[in-house]
Amino acid sequence: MLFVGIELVDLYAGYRGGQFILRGVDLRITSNTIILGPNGSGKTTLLRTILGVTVSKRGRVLIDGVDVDSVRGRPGLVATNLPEVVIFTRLPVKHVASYYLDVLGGDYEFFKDLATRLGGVEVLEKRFRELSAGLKKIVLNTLAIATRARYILLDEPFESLDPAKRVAMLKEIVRASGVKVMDTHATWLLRALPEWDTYLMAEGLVYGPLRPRELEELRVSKEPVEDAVLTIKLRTGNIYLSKTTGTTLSSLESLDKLYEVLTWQY
Amino acid sequence: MAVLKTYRFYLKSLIKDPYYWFWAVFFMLFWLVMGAFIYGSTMTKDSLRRDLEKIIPPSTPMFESILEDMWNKSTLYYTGSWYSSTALYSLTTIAMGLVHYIYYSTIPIRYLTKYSKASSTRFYTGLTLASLTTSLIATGILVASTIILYSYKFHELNKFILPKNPLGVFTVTVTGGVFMFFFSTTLALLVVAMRKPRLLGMLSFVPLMLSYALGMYGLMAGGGLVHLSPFNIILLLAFHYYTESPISLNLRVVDMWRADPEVKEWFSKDLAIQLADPAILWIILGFWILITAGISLILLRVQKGVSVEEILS
Repeated sequence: MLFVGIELVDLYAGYRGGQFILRGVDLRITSNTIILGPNGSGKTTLLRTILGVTVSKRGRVLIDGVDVDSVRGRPGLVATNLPEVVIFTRLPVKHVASYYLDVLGGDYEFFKDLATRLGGVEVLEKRFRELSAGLKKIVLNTLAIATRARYILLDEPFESLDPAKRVAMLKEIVRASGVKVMDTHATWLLRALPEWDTYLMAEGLVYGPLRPRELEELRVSKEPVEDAVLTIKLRTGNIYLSKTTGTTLSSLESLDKLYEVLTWQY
Repeated sequence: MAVLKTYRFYLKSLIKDPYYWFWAVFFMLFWLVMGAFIYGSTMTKDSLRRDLEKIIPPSTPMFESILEDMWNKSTLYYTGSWYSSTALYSLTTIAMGLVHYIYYSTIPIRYLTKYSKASSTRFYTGLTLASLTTSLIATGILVASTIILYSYKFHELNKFILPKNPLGVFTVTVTGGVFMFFFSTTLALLVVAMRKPRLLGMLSFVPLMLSYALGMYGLMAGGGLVHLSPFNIILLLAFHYYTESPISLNLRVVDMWRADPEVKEWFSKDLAIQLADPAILWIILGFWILITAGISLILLRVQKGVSVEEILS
């Protein structure tokens, strides 16, 4: 399989009753990518659909030119930190990771080293369900990185991590081989990833790409702006991103604040 | 290799599952103890002597030898009936657990079959072998416990009530395990294909409900067509290989001793007994396995998985 990247063509996806969460996404991913968006914008659904585990789908997802529904027996192609791909078991983390990395073609020694460095020695002996939210995230991120896959899909990889662990995890993600696709609603990491393609996601649609520095400099406004770089279409009205008018995105602690700002300030 | 790795992973997983040990092993041991010491408390050599004296005068030469022979046979049949029913319920309990394992594995299986060396066939082969191994471990413990408990109760360990055909007992256990696996897979995939996760709780109890209802009916109430259900066939064959008793389709299992040619002469002369060839039962069981395997394979192709949201809710 040649390296062509991940391509989403007019993609609609959802879970039940024909209500799509993704509403016509067109996207091509060939290098490290950040998808920024508030909770409920469809970021996780986007990763699940790329992975090929979403039930209702219309449109196409191509991984290196092959439809994701046709992908079979390709160790090392895609890995993820989504918890639902881990088998329901009472076995401790070390057994689960060892089995997964064995069949996925990953590196268990690397996993062991990184997981114990970030989560402590005891993390390997515990069961998944016994782990705190932060430790669970560390284990799942590490499992995804240790597969050394061509594409690594990371869903909110810094959620529930303390500040020190966030920085350490970010370093490991940056260092990891392969194309990383990371969704998050945190804006603090933009400065550390100047070369990554950044997309904004809202209400099932993806906007971009922009470079983090470019994004940091943008201002957000609910009022129409003439020099708008991006126009985000929401059910409640449009949001305009421009270089001149509104609040700078980097001044917001989290993109979730975007909605508060738009609701109360404007 | 992927089969072996999946087998080892699931075997470890099932072996470390307290649900398996409690319901498939300890709970069945509890019933074996009940069968030996509570329900079997009135079954003594003296009571058999009194019954036999009604048919054969005690002064008859060889009376004691006949009594001894009858005592050995009745304890063997009693032991066989308890072993066969607890083995069936143990297999069923494992099946119940498997329904949950398979259901919650549908998304990991889709992920692993796409991005690992494990194809869905290899994955299910590994899981089948792991469930068969756990079935064999459970029934091995049950066979050993049955021999010790019932030999102690009826023969004070001076004589062991061993299965007459251990290979047959082993084979029917493995085959019963295969049936239970495909039956569980069918139920779990039915939930997935219909996308009705709320049915999972109810459907996971189906193997247990059917095996208790049909098994108990065949054991205590009567024979007939109910003996042709896969649950009853497993029970009948396990009983047959434990005791080497002929299989009768018109008798309940606890009366199956009447079909024994030596006993029939004394106790069941006027009884019309309809015997069945075990080979026929094997064919019917094979047929049930093919049906459930076929349905589960069709469902495997048809199902698109239950959405993550529905599974996690």
